[in-house]
Amino acid sequence: MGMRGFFLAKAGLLTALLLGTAQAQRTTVEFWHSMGGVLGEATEALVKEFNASQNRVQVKAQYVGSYDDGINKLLAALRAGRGFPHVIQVYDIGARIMADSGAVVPLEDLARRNGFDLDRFLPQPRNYYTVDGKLYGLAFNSSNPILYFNMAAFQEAGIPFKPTWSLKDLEEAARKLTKKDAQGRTVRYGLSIPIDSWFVEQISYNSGEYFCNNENGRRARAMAVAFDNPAAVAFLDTYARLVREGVAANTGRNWADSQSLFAQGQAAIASYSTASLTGVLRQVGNRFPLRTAYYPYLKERNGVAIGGAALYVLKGFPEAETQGAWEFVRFLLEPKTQAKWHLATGYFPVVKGVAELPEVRQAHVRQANYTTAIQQLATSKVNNASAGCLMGAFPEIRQYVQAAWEEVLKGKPAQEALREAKAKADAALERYNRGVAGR
Amino acid sequence: MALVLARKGVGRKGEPWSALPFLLPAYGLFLLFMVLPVLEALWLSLHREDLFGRGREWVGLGNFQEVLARPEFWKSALLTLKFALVVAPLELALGLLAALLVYRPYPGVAFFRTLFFLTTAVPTAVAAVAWGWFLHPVGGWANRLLAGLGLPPQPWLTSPDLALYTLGVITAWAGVGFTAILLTAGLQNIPEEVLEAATVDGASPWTRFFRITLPLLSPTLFLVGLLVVLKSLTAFGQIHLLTRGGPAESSMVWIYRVYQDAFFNFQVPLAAAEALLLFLVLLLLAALQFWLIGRRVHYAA
Repeated sequence: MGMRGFFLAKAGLLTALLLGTAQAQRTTVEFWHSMGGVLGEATEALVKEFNASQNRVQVKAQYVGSYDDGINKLLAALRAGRGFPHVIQVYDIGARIMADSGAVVPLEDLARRNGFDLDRFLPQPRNYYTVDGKLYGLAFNSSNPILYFNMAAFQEAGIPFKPTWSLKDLEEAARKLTKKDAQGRTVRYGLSIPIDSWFVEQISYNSGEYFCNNENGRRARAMAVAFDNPAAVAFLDTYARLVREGVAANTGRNWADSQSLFAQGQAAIASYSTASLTGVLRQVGNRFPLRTAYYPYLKERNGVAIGGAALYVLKGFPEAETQGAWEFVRFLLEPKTQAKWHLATGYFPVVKGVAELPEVRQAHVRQANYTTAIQQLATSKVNNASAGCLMGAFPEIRQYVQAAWEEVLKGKPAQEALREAKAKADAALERYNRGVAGR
Repeated sequence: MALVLARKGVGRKGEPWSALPFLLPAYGLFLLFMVLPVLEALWLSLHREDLFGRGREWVGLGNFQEVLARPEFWKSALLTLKFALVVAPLELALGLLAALLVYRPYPGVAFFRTLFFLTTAVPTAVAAVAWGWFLHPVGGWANRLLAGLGLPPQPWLTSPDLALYTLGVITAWAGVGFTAILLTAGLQNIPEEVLEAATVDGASPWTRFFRITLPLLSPTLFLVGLLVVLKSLTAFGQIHLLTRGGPAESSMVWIYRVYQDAFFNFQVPLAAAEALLLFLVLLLLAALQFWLIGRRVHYAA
């Protein structure tokens, strides 16, 4: 081996050594998420891009099952005092629980420490995850409910498209869109909405009503629910009336059962999340032109709250690891990342200036339905109703609302069914508050 | 028979100890995945804590008292009983019918045996999703069939009056293959001479079935019946995938209540108490079953 060869080998060794130490010094950040299927692929792609973009932090993403599975795995880890990740995705209604856990480093603290301007957030995603005046979570995947229209059916019934709908207008349109055969059996339903508490919550917000007291738990901790409000009552009574008339379909709690009905042209109007758009478009194919519109309201349109889920950075790790978690979060907040995520999933951007990016603009021209959610958010009033209800025991309370909806479908007046559900929900909330805050 | 043989083996000197290393892995797994979780559930059920595990305190049997005082718990227990009463007779009747069709060899019997057993081989999740499509309130085949017959469509899983029965039928369908196998074995154990003697005496097939086959099969039927009841008490997957305890809590059976209380209501200690109470019921049923098997082995010998 000549001098040259020796030098090269030495250089190679040195490089390997340096790379090795760089590898070893890379901070590992564990990330639990609940994004399955296409959404999971999009999430993994972002993680991969982040890992490739720098050499300090390595994010290890893990799919931990549904939202329900995810929060339960977290609670089990917190109970055991070990085994929780640096970053976790938790559903929208877990915001109060996450803040009460005492296990979260508020996003606001991280942002201030690192000089990130919180005003770059859109107001609604920021308001939703603000608890007791402090922003806790990053609205990672944010959605809102929209209406889906079968425009072939609309044309046939002679109903013109419009973006905003009162409940009353929607009811009339649904009646006109319904087609029955000679025996009076429904061939095409006018309306189909899955039985999900989320739609009752949103009709409340969009009509300027609160879903829980103390202004949706925004002025002070919510101590009781307020879902027996006029908007929720009217919504459930209207839906049940339309089901009895054969105008609306009752497909139960399973969203997929309603979506198949809509996609096959057997229901002319439906309501799902914006995040359902990609899937529904694929299911509909070329069967009919599809348009989307804003979620209905009772008397005057206020604005919807965001749904979806947020990312939380958890306490209990060395400073360097928490800083690594922040770098990952910071990467997700980049307009470019937000644009990719929006275009891959249909969830809307949560920071300003994304809709103006050329790739987003082009995509919106190609498929204008993707702008509905963004515009719905932009035209929503910013107040405590549209901030969304913040309360503990929300997962349990949703079950009572859904059971009430089913009671109304069976014939009980909505006022009565919701009042009975309220008693159970208030007890659950009281128990939660006593357990968590009372000590 | 197997029991008798096993008892003989135990009698030989030294053998139990040499068997231990072979049994250890099985015992270890049993300990790790069965005994320890039950003990942990027991420990949990005797404490109270918030959903994050803070403020843990010993409450003795307090959780059990609270569970037993809740009307929802008794509603669920009653629903569970109703569910078992739907599943067990149906699954036994269908299983017996299938067993009668395949217990004697004839050309192509293997095909039918496989066909009947197939329902057991289908994973619960797959079966539940397929049933969901079949029973779709509007576009499902079940309602299209009804429409073809000029009958109105039925809200199979979306009506609180119907959902539990529909789930019962699905559960019976899923278990019928296994039940048929056990009953086939039972039918094959009935001495051929007895039936031949009856035929010679001029008994009709009908009489032979009701006067000879059924009485001789009844111990097996009872045992299998108990097994079916045990299985129906722990039916979870189909309920989780099809109704989630709804509509209007009409399918909120005991085990689903446990799931709901633990993972939606975040009352883990209370759910542990509920689960242990269900465990107790299952244990009693299993004990009854073992006692009967013991008697039956004695009887056969």
